[in-house]
Amino acid sequence: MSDMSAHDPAMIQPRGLAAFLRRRPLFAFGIAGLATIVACALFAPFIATHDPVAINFADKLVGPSAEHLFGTDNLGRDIFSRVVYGARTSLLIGAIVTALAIAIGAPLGLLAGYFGGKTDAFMMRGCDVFLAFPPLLLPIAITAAIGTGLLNAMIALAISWFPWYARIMRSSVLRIRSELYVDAARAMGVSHGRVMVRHIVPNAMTPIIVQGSLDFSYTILAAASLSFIGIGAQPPQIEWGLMASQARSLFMDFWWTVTFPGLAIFVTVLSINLIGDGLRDLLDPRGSSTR
Amino acid sequence: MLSKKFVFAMLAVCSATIMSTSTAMSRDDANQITYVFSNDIKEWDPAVIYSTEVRTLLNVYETLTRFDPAAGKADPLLATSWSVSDDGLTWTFKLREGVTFHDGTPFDAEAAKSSIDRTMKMGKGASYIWSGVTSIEAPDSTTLLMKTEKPMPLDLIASSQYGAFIVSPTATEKGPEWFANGNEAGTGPYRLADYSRSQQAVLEKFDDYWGGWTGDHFDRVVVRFVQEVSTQVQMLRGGEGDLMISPPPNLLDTLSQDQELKVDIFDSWLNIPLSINTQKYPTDNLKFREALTYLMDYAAIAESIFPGTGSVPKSCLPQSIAGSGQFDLPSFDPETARQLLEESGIPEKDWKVNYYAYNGREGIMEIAEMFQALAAQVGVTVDIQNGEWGVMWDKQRTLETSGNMFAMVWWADWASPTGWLTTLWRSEDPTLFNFSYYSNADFDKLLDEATGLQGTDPEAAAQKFADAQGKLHEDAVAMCLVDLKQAVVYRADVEGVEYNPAYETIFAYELHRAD
Amino acid sequence: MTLGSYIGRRLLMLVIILAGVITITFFLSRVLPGSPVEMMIGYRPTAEEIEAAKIELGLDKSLPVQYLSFLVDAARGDFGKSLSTGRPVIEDIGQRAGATLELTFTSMVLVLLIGIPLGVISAVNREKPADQFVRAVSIAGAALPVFMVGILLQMLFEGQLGWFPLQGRLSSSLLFDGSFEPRTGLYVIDSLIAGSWSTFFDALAHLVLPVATLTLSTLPLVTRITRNMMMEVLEEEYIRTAHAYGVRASYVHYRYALRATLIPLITVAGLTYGYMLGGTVVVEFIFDWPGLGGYLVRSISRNDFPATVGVTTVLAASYLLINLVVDLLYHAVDPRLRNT
Repeated sequence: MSDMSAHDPAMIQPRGLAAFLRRRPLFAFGIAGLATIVACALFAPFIATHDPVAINFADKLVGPSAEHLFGTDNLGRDIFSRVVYGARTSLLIGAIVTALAIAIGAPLGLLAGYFGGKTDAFMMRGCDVFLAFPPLLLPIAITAAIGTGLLNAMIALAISWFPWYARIMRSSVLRIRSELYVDAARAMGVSHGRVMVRHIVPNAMTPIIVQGSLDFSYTILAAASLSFIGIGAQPPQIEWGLMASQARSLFMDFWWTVTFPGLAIFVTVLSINLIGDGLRDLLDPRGSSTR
Repeated sequence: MLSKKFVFAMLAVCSATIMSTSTAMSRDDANQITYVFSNDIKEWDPAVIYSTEVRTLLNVYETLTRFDPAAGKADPLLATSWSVSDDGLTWTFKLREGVTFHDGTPFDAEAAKSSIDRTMKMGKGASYIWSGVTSIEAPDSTTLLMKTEKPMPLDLIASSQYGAFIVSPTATEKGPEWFANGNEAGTGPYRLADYSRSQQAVLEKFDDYWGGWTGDHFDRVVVRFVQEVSTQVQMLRGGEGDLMISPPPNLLDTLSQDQELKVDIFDSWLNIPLSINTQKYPTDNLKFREALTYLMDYAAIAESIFPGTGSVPKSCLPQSIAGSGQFDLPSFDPETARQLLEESGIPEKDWKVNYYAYNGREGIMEIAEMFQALAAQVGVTVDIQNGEWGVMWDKQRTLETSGNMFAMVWWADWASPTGWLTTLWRSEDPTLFNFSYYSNADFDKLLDEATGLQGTDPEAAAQKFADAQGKLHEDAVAMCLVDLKQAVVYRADVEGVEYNPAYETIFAYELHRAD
Repeated sequence: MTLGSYIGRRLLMLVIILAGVITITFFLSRVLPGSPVEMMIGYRPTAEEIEAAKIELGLDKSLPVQYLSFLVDAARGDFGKSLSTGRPVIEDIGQRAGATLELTFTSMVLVLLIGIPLGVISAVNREKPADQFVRAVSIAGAALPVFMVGILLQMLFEGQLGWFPLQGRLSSSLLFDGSFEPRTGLYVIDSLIAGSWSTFFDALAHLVLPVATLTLSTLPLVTRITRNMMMEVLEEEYIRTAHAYGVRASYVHYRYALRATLIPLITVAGLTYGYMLGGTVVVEFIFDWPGLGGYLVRSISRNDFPATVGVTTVLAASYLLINLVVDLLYHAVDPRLRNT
């Protein structure tokens, strides 16, 4: 019952939001963390202290110092600057993969839910096949097939993630389809396409958007893992998972080479998860979502 | 509450045992040495082997002769003495008596003949070393007679670490499947006792080894295949491993400060040539290739990527090998590069090259990334493709899938420049290692003449080899990135570590542990 | 619906989905880059060798024919020969399955034993410090990629403390001294069967860090799901009623609510297994663990498509099977489902 206030209409008022933030410091921390990462991505050239690709052997593998906040890597590149620029890559990966997965999954779910019957059965069984692969395994296999590289890894992640959106969309559509106004529209002779676009999609998008923002962090983690095992980002791309991977032979003796890229992933994903957690409490206080 | 106490007690015992066993385990057996290598044995057939397999298998197989780096000549091994006819065309090898293969078959002239015949007939691996041999005969059990069409230093060729292993004729009859399943039949001091794919090979002393076991030797050699170099290093630090070759250059300093370890740096014939593809746009353009050679920072490679083991080369042959010329090679000079690029006539939008690198060799990727950054400064885009050695090799061997540039650590087949010049740049079809797709009749001719003179007139041969190398640089078909020394790291109580530049291993038979 | 017909329907679904999985892997295998023929025959092939290899790989036939024979072969577990090891893929898989099973099974037991109680404690003490602590830790844990967990453990326990062996499943001396004959492929169990304590402890020591990595990286997920499920149950009418009747709170929580939660938690086990399989790819890669995950990564980096396809299919099939078992169990123990 403690969360009933989340349903209070005052919540959406600025003052209510401030109060909410105060009562939920973790949510506030998440907002601050994500804002920092986004700022790094947007203003990388101003925040970075060095050229992230400039090689400087004179300063190779030096530890964190005033000159190099996070130390340097085996080519003498400034790790702080690389971490800052890496924010661009990771946020971009999150955005593109999520958008792509929604772009594939949502229309399928819409058609399946709207028409039902054989279309539905066929599409949903198709989705089941994709979901039958253990998470992370399908993207690995797809990347292996279409070739390593960041773009292919992103495509692979989207392909293996879209069925979730198809499912969510379908269940929303099923709920909305039985609403009175949809029946009314159909009875008035509005075409299927128009009904879908005008009446169903706008009302079905909310859960998709919510889920998408939650999956954002999963995507970043998965992409980093793909880069780490060598099938994701490739040099000269700057990606945190790749940086950790490149430090594999060094981290025992030069701890900073792997710690800071790892920390960057941690802070980003943690921030997004904290925000997601807060949002869930705000929208769905029973926290019944289990995915 | 007995149960709770009991559980705690059990936990304590367990953890204590785990910790003690995990460190004590590998040290139990004092008369065993553990090598830690990166690469598993992919190819077992001695006629086909042409890569890192020899690190393990040089302890299992033997050749007729062994190269002696100090004297620059061949020493007896399975052959005890040899002579060559006055015309230099007939070689007579006297073979060691009382030698048996690991499968019990006695070693004799017939066995040696069939082994070399088989390698030549199969035409795989480094079989080229025998080209020029016209016939092999075994007049009696200890005499091997080899005839050649031109004078060749067969005593040195027979010492080659590739293509010259003598294998039991009984084994070769069992067919390639038998080898592929991880079997051997050599005459070396150690025989393969156990092999777990991608984990380890266990070599046990071969009781009937002709060299005998009277001295201080290890009874057992365990070769662990550990992909990650950092893990290899940690295994040595913790005592799980005893010896590794080519540690990460960045760790040489800290490793040599470790009291429990020793780091030895030996002269070697290792270097890194970078082949430039002469048949792929835009590197089919001479000026463009020349421009690329000015975009590499050779000094940085020697000093910063391979500190302590690298030196700036003077030729694409390591300076340490006889017959290597000395040339005034390009150095990093973006101005000149830019100028050459303009002169090349290649439009600026096409200033793009594919650069192939591979995993598992420290330094290879660093060089690639450095070149990428330096080339970007003058507007050349470098696309690095990286994969396992075998995969990249396969890609480069087919012109359609090949890259513009391919850099690799290279070492000798046998003590001759041919291991570089013939293997890497002589016209060949299909391509095995001529990653430059270089085909120059003049170069081939010089090379053949030089190879022919090796047996009779080493000085004239050296001159021809130098001329041939001159052609390479004229045509800018390669960048000579760095000459390397071989670093070997081992537990301080291991004694007798010596490195022979002609062999890419440490012979375990020569080692023992201090008392 | 009776249990029998339910099982029948689920089995049918399984076959259909498995066929779908194999179809996907087939198409993946045909677009793989590089020429499998060249990979297969190695150095300096002759024209005849290339032809022979093509026939062996079935590349001389039309695509539909290739697909059908692939489907039939795959159903029988025949994925052809690995291009890098030269042996039948299914043999390679058989040899390595034990390692992965040992790793995932141990981690799974641990993660359920730790994660479920944590989730319950968290739910019962909702919004109290215990809950906030568990939630904070699990949210933080979920933000660490598997490879970072592995690397951090390596840095601490191998680099700094040197407590555990670095890689592999057994110390080299035990791998071949003849006293140890792997039967089940699970070394910990094999060594117990053989009655060799030193082998047992050695295998256990090798298991610690990989299992810790896999467990720690899956724990947040299990904790969170348990918490959510338990909370849902706590909202149920009969629990509230019990509270209202003055039944002792702990009795209500652990007797009624936990029991009601445990049934849906069976499905968590299935889900966890899936996450374990994904994680094991990275864990085996980091710790050089000779299982299927490491085999997959190596096969990919070697363009070894029969092996890649084989492992992917087998892992997906095992995931399907586990989930089938889980569903059936669920069906069997949940009275509500039985009667619908």
